[in-house]
Amino acid sequence: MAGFAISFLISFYVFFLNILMTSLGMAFTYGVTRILNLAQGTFFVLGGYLASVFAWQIGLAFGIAAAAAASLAFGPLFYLYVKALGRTELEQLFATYALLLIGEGLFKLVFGNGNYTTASLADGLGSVEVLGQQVPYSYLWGGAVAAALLALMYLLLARTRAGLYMRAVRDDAEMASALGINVREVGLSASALGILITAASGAASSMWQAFTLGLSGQILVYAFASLVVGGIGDLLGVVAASAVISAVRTAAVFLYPQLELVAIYLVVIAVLLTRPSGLFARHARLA
Amino acid sequence: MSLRKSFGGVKAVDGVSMDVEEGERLAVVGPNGSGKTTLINLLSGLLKPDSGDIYFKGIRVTNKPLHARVKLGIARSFQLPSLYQGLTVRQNAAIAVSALRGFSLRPVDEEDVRDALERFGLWEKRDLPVGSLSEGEKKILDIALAVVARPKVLLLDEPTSSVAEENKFELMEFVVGRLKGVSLVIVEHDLDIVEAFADRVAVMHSGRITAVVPPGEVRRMAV
Amino acid sequence: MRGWLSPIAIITAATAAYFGGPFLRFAAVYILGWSLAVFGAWLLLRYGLVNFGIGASYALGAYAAGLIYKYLHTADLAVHLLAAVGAAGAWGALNGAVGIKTRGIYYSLLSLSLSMVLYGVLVKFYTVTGGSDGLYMPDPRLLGVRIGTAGLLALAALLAAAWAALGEVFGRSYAGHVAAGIKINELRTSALGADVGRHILISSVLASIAAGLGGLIVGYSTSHVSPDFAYWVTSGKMVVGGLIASFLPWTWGFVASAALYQAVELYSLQFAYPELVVGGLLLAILAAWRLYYRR
Repeated sequence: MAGFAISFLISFYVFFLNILMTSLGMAFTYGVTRILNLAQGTFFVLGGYLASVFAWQIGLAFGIAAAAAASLAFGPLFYLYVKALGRTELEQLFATYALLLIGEGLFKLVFGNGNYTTASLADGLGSVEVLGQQVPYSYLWGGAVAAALLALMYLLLARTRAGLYMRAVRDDAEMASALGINVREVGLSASALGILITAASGAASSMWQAFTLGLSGQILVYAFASLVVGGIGDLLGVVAASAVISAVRTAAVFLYPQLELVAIYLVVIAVLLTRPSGLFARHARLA
Repeated sequence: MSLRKSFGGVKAVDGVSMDVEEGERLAVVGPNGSGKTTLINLLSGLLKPDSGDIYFKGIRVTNKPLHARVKLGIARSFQLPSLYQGLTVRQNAAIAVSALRGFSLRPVDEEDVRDALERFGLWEKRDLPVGSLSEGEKKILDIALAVVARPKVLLLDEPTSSVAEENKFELMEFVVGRLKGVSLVIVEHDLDIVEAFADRVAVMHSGRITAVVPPGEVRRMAV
Repeated sequence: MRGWLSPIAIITAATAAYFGGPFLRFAAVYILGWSLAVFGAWLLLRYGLVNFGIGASYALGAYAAGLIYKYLHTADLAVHLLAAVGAAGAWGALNGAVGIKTRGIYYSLLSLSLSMVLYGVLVKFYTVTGGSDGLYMPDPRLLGVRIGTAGLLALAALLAAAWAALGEVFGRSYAGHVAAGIKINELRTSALGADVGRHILISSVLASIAAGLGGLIVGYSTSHVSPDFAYWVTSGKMVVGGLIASFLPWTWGFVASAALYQAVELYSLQFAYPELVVGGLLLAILAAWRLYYRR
């Protein structure tokens, strides 16, 4: 029984980490800029590819850090790209969809068809035995990275002037603009940060996830699910939502594997129909 | 009977009872935040009351949605003219005509569109985008769209706001002159307008109607 | 009256394709079938609704026929058409009924989630649905006779022409004007007397039926249907097709945009990096559109 419980918990934790890491940066970017980025999964995959390449040259930890640092430039570029091409929500969707395709093409061009991962390096970190089950240290390190990213975002939003501006723009961009906040600059830095977080998450995930073509789109639908359940743009909501979704998904896998994907989306639909602004939204949406 | 509506603990409309007679022009006055617009939203069906009932010609409409009330004969205008931006005056009127038809694949009757615009003198402007109209014309078009449904009661939410002082009287004269026989509920700040056009005046304060008086006495009541 | 040339243009183009050899025949059937799904996405875009799950309807149309063949062993076209319309129509009613509770981005995510539920069912219940391998689609028969490629092309052309005619009627109709009203200002349209939920419900059913018929045609043309029909990326392509169609001024715009998208996708396959070609083209279209509208 204990063995069953611990393997359930490990399975829950790994999927929780995966889904949290894909949706954190997306929630952050959307919250401030209101750009629903269909190419967010692309930046996650980019982080994973880069980390896998760098890790073999300069070691696991430095490789992951270098991948995250390299992706910092993409955020502002992304923001400028979307703002130049899309003024309406539809045009922005169109622009990010084109970016998703272009990203896939570039990945094929640069990285080819192979599987990219740092799993074999991460195996070297060893594992810890919990109640008779081996838990790889890489999962714990992954959790630490996620916690660090969350703490970083929280401190930034709650304690700094830039964070204050971001919260102001998130709550009411027009009002913030009227108060003299440069919405464009805030959008640029929020995109940079959101994409940095996403790419760093992808880089860290490379310890247990293999990166390959087509992953960008698969990741996106999980991130959507977490975003909807958590209340779009809400960080703590996304954490809670990732836990809820992982619990439901893991239960489905253990009880009735056929329903794995279906169960996740049934939760999403139920939330959309009962609490359209998310289970954990800060403000109730006015009717 | 009395209507109540709160927003997160704030009582916007707190026990209002009132009647509107057929063909009557009832003005609702009161300071900002006294619940006038919330009252209009409750009557038109944009909001549902927390308690209380609304009857129209003996039919209980409390739970009827916005569009169903329009078909019964309760229409409204908006404080900020709520037009279809980017479209022409004619296209705006065509949407108003179409909104009353259900899901019909028959072509729009251009005669109805013309009637709707001619009644308010806007036919000449039919091919202009609504963005290029003056503030007064926007107000008139907003009301013209609501009137397409041939309402028995028309709820006018600040019909003269954002219109230049010297044009307010003229605008009301023009609009009211084209709405003979229609009961009007007019939310209005300008007491000159109220005195000139209302039959009765309801004074609102903190979500309640504190008095219903003839227009001559309104200045004494509303301080 | 010029708009009525649309159905005629579609029939003419299909006839020309028939004489263009076997490849053009196949491509024409595929494009006309796919264009019906684009029509569905386009119709909902008229209301401002971005349906990222239209692929579910497309899949249902084909699976309805595939399952009937698998279990009832009939390849009768009339039975298949009825089943496709019924299944897709019911799905459209479901999507419309739950969709009217949400708007904007939430509507998109809800429709995406619905389609992913169907995708999950199609993949995981493989004993019934054939799993990720999908199902075989037979050559349809009309009164016991195989309709063949020519018959299939005629069917595809007739269906596309019929939906083009519907699009033409819709554009001038009361319903079409209400759609424009809902897209720009839903609340105002409701305050003018339109039952917004009812309009969206009916259009969801119509859009879903169009996409379902499209899936049926495409399934016939490739003799195969797979869960990929319901995957969100499939829907995404259809939404892009619908968006391009909404930039075009003609009623047959949905066929033109489907042909453009499929031609580019086909052309891109000669390159090692086809996604780059398609993505680049979409970017060029968007850039051209933005330049055109900057005036």
